[in-house]
Amino acid sequence: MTAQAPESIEIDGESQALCSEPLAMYNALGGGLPEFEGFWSTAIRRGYLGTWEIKGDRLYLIAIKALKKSGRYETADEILSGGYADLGELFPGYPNRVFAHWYSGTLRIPQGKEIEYVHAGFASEFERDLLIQVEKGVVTNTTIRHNGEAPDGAPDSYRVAAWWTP
Amino acid sequence: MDQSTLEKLQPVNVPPWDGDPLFRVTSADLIRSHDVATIEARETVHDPLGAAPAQPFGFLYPTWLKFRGDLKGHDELWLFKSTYKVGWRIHEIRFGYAKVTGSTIEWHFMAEVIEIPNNMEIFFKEREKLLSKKRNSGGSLD
Repeated sequence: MTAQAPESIEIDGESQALCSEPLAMYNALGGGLPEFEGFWSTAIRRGYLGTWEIKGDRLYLIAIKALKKSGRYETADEILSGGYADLGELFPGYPNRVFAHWYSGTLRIPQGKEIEYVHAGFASEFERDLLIQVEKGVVTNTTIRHNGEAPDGAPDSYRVAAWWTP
Repeated sequence: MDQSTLEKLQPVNVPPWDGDPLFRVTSADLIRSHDVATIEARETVHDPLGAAPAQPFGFLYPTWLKFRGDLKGHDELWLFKSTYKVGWRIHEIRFGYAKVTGSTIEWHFMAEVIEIPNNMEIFFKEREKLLSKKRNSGGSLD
């Protein structure tokens, strides 16, 4: 098991870690994104890092860092030779902002200090979880879950042990 | 279509393109039939920032066109709602439109997947188990 690097989300101009994967649902609905390279890091099995934004009660994808599959895995250079995909390539005609109308679910945004690090998925526990309910890309409800108090000196931002980006 | 015919519909669900081959729409999932024009009108996406195509199903319009292109004159389109188990404990509600031909449900276009609302509570319970396991094993999850 390996902790996974979170997506990021901008809310009211502040960037935070997002422990949900709204883009996964796009492909489940037949969205047809290409397969990304999942071998660049065990902490990014999904093969991309998305940046999202809540703006006017709507969820948008505003950037993505995704490594295209090269099909060659001997060296780091070979893995990287597929190059990066950008938003406009994945959503032609929409290079800067994509409305996530396909997504319905709950976004989880850990906040506060880290109570306990867990080296698996998005399981690390923080003092609070901001839970944003979304229906077809539109925010319908927001709640905060209180998980407890972090020990003195605890990290105050999301971290993933032993991951690298090329 | 009368109720007895509806109940006898058999799912075939052979995917004509990449899809989840394990997921089946059954007759019990069918809600009501709609014509293409009605579906396209109700499913057109509007975004005030213009960040999605103002077309039926937005960015999924090409997939919808492919599905629509396979329809024959006698086919019916039915709105469906199906509960589907994904993985160990996660359930989803799936909405979409199924193509019904004679006595078979041939294939479907999936329009929306909703995680069942308590999935997040399931996540928190699972995390609590992970944390307990970690504490009891001295920090290892292997």
